[in-house]
Amino acid sequence: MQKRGTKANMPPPATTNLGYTPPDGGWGWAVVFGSFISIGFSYAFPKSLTIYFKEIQEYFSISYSQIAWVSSIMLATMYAGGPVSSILVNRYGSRPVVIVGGLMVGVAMVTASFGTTILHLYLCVGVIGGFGLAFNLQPALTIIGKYFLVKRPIANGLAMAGSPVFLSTLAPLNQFLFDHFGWRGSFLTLGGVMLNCCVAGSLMRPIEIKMKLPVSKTTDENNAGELDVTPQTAESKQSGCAAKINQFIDVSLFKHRGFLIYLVGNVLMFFGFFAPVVFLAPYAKHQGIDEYSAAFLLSIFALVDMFARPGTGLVANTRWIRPKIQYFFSFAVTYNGLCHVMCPLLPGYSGLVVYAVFFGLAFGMVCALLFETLMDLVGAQRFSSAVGLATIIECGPVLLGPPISGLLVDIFMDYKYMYFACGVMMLAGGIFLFIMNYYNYRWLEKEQTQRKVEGLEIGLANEEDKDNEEEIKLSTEEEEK
Amino acid sequence: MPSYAGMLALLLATLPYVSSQNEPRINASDQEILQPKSGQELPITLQCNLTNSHSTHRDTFWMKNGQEIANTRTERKHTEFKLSKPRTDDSGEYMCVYTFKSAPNANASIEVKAAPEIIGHKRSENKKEGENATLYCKSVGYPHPMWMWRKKVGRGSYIDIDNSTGRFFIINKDNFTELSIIGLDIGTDPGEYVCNASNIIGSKESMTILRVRSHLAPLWPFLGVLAEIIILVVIIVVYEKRKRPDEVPDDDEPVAPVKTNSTNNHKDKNVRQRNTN
Repeated sequence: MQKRGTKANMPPPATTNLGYTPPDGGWGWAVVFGSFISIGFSYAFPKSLTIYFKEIQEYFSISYSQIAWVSSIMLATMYAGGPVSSILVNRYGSRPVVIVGGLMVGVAMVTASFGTTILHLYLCVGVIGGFGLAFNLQPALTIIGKYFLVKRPIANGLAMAGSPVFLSTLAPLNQFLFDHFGWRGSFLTLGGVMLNCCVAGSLMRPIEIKMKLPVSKTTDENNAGELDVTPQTAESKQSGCAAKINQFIDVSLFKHRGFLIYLVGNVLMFFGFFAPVVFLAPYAKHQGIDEYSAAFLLSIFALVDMFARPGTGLVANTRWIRPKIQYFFSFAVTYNGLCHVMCPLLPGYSGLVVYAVFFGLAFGMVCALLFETLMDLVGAQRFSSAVGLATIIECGPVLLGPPISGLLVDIFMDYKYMYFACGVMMLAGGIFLFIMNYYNYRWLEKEQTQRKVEGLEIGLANEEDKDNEEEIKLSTEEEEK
Repeated sequence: MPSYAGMLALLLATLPYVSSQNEPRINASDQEILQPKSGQELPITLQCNLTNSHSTHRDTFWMKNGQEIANTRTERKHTEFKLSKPRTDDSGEYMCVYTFKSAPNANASIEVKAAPEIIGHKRSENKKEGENATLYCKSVGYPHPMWMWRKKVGRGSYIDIDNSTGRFFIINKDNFTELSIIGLDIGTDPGEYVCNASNIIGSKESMTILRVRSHLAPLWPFLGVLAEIIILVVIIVVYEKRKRPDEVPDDDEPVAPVKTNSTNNHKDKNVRQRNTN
């Protein structure tokens, strides 16, 4: 039973070059809570700031698009700061980076509350705040991979659930602060609230790897150990100038087949990922639904999303899904695309409610698996570099997606073409991931069996040597006799 | 022989009859009172009929509140204006106007009255102390309402606004009223302000909440959050420092690469030999 279970739960090879067994529990759950907070703030904070835009716009006498830049700059910096964050995490570990990130955001918001021009807001909230959030997001994801292996999908699902929970909390909180303190006072208080990221960071205790070498039990282990060290060292030897960059961030990832598949599939997907969320309420209002019911749709969406993420983590952890988790992810992306394509066909308010429920489920599934699959492909050791490189490349479609969709709406004066376009993009991404991962799994299995065969051959060769030795001994003995 | 006085008297007596012969006469329908809220939006038709005109009639059109309504010009003497689903903003003073070739226009007016409805106001106004605040209300309905501003205290009871400090200014126009307060005082000014619009048909009011913030107001929650964070961080750090010396090295702590780096056996070994939590 244990054998079957452990075998089926095996992630494909090359995932755990960690060199140790992750604890999969204990303090790990406190770390998950810390990641929950960090991820929640990172994703929810830029979106929740929109409540202040109207008053700030009036205060500085600027246009709406100028104030909307604050959010865009913040999001862009958060994604583009990924590689910087990865380099720092590789060097110093997660905890210091998150604490510094929290301090940056806190100081940025407090400074912004005294700002006198919109440029101050761009700089403080946009650039410094964005970097601070980037320093929160990457390390929070990385440290989950260091603490969990067997229960990693659950841990990822729980941590990613931070985003909808914090969005649901921050939105009314911001409204309350705005009513009572105006935008300056709110920014000051929010600066304090964001310092909670430092609390989250202090929870992210680094894992201590005591490098005490074990007393090797048998010669077999020694031999096998040596054999397996050589592939490792072979991997770690890089040639040329790449070696220098690789000290900071693992650029050899661009040769990693799984990583490339993930990247292409995700870039396709992100073009159509966020726009439907942004346009859900305007679409509802366009159909004649009143403001409160339209806002209620978003609440339904967030509520379903909140439970879908840990639920997906639980499902992904089962022994049927875990080995083939890439298929599960491709399925989630395709399901998303289907939802969008079907949305314009659903009539009336009840149709939109049904859509909100299914879309919430789909969105939660994709988000919960987004980073778990990356960890699964490249392994926890290289994950921090991988996520940095992935986010800076995903920066493009994430930022371009909603404006392009808005353009579609403006050109056709109808939302359904936008939903079709988003659905098609996600279907394309999903199908691409399905097909490429099918081949990837096959190639990985081939490589694994090859390695086994090589291992066996060398083992057999050793045995033969020993047998030969014994034979020689016996024969010499016989001869002596 | 009739006297000159008698002839003059006769002439004077017939003068009105003669002049009324020359004046056009218009039969107009009665005034209407709209009840849009009761849900029965019965269509209303305003009618005018030119019964007597001395000069050649040219055309007819309708006006509302002094402005011509488009697409109502006809050459008929009997004219109608229909309001199929009348709402409060359809109320006003309507006039049917007849033009003549060589005579001044003649008109008759029909009033369409409705109780006022307040269509524009701010739900809440938040300002710092010392700043100026402006509360306003806009209405539709006819005749134009009388405006009154009051302040709500307790449940359902109102008091008039106390202007002993001379900081309150009210501007009333036909369908619009504005209450300006200069130099907000954090002690006396905050509260619920009610604008009341009333005309002969009915009245309506709506409320705006005025909040006044002190200069230092946001500092307290900021300091509170800061205190909470420092306490939490201290607790976490102390817990970690105290746990470290007691920490059992084996469970969490890893061992240098065991058997293989292909994961199949990796986990097996560890599960069997060591107790992972």
